[in-house]
Amino acid sequence: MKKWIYTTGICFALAIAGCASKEPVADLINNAQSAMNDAGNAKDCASQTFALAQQALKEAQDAQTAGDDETARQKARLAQSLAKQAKEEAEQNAEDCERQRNAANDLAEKLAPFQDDFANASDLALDDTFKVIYFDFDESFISTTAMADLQENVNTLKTRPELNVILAAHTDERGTTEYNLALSQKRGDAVKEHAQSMGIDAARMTVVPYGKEKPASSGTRDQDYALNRRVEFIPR
Amino acid sequence: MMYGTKPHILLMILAISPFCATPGFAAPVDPDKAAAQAADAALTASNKIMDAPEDGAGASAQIAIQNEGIAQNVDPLSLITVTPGGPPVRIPIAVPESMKIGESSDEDSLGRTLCEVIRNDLSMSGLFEVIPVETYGLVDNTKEGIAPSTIQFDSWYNVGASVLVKTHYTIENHKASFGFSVYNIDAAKEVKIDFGDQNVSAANVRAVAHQFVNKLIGFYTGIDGVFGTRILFAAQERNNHRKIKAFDTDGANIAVYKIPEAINVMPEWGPGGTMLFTQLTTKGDNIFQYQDGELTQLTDFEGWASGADYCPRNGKIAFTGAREQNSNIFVMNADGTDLQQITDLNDFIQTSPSWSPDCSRLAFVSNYSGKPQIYIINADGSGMRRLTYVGNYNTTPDWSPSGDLIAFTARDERNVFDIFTINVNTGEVVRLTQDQGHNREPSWSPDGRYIVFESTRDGKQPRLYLMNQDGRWQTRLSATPGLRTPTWHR
Repeated sequence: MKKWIYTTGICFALAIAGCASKEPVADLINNAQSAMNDAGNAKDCASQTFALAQQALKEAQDAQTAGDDETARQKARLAQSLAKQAKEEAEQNAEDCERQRNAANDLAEKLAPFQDDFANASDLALDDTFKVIYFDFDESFISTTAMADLQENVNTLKTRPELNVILAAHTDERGTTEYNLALSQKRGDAVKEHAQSMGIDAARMTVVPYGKEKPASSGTRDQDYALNRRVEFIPR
Repeated sequence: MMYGTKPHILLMILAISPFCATPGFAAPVDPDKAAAQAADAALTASNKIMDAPEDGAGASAQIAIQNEGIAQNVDPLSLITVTPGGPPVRIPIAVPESMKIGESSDEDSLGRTLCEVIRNDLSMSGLFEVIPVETYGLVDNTKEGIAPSTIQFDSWYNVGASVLVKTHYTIENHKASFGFSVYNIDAAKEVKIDFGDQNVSAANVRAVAHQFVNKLIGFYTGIDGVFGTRILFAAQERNNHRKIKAFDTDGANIAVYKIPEAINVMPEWGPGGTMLFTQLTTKGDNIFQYQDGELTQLTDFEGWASGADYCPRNGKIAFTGAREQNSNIFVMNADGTDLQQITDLNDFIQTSPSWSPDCSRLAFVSNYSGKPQIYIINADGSGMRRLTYVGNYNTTPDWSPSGDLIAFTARDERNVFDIFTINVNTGEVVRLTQDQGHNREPSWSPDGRYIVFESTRDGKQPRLYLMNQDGRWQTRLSATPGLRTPTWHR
């Protein structure tokens, strides 16, 4: 099929060349270009022929640059004829083509939820008012580092008494759904208890466990997991 | 001791047990009564098998079943034997293309769908080995009809089939009639399955195929199959939202529950076709009921309530609740009234309750011993006892319909998650999955033959898989990633 088109294209181009060899190269290239634009849809539905047209056009332009006008004319005419051919083919194939395009779109749609994966993990805006409190694997105690961050958050809550917070508690993706929910609850409780002992009214803080359902990072490296084991202070 | 990696103990399961009955075909005397007897006997036999020592377990199992003298009523297919310690044998079965009767030109694909569904179900069942259609060349299918006299038994024997399933259908104006015939190739005769012609809408072709397979399984094992029943799960969506969906046992007929976008997780079947699920929001985590497009909030815990498990026999929902701090097990009526706290252990996690089939007990997870383990407690809160002692992360118990086993997710010494079962009476632990990604969140089929679970063997996002209750014949139900916490309809 491909060969046949090519051959037909060449014959057609040569036939034209025979009687109009003196046309300006630039005009011919313009004609080819507009034929290609006209066949824009063929890019998907007659892709092989369209690609041949593109190639011929490029060769024509190269020949023009090189000053080989005769080759440039030939290639430009070839490109124009291939572009027309591609357009016709595309029209004949329209039905199949539509089906293929739909299938491709369907696939893209199916994959879409996983493209950005967890890129938009938090739907609640996290600003830098509060620090995120991080936890060790499988643990709900607050480490020394985390305690310093918690102290900062407590200070913020003290200077801004109008702020009440949700303590959104999370685990990494390892483990099972509901036990992770329970583990994240324990983490939220640990943060709440400590903040309370540092002088924050318990009524200003509500623990909401999310388990492994809202990771901050989608990776599977240890550093990704570490980012996910956390309690976030979210103003409510 | 941590979980070792040992080979599967290849025991005969109750599903195959009747094949060991006395040779010689005997027609059913009283199908209902016989099936019930077979079922009871098979369950008893199954218990014996589970109790049998590992050494020569297969042989013991066979003897146990023969001593029960069960299943005199079913086609024995005397060629089926069990080698002690060897793999159980599946029945080789041929399912050639369906025959369309009449001239109607519409719905040519109907017969293909019918056969595809039948073949797929039979393969997934673990009871049959479906011989590939490409190898049916020895038989001239066009010369065969339905009458046994037209069946080329010798040719089908040479194809390797012990059982032959033939189907035919007529179709007019989207109304279809399906007919089914089953032949015992070795005995060269037709086998009468209790499944007459089905006159239905053509759109019901998959349902009819499932029903036929279920009856066929019932004929050979004494207990009907469960193909075509529904499985609920949570599906990963954009922005970490989860949608609750359901599909058939083969991943077809997917349905999406219309619930406002949120993190909707842990779906469970509620009373009368309703669906119970947990919604995680900034207002807290609570349990909702979905019924005919309407949502009802069943719990109102400021902290957290999740993971409903409904028991049809007592109409109660068990769930995890955290009122102030630590979580405990609660029970309430299906409409959210009459809340009772079952466990009361401060400073520890209690979660993931699963009803025993008779609703008298609950299995659940507690970290009372320091790490999560499976416990059992009576429904009135008495008699709490620890069940698992091996490993340090045992979660998501799901009590089997027969009551003797609990499937659960465990983390092994390599930090890999796999599915195990534990015998409630003997404490015997059996590993069902291994070296195939992480495998989690098991749920039993209503007949106790299969377990559906999530697995990361194909990539980071879990897919749903099916396996026999002993871990054999693991099959993927859907290629779609991001499907979690399956629950089989009971």
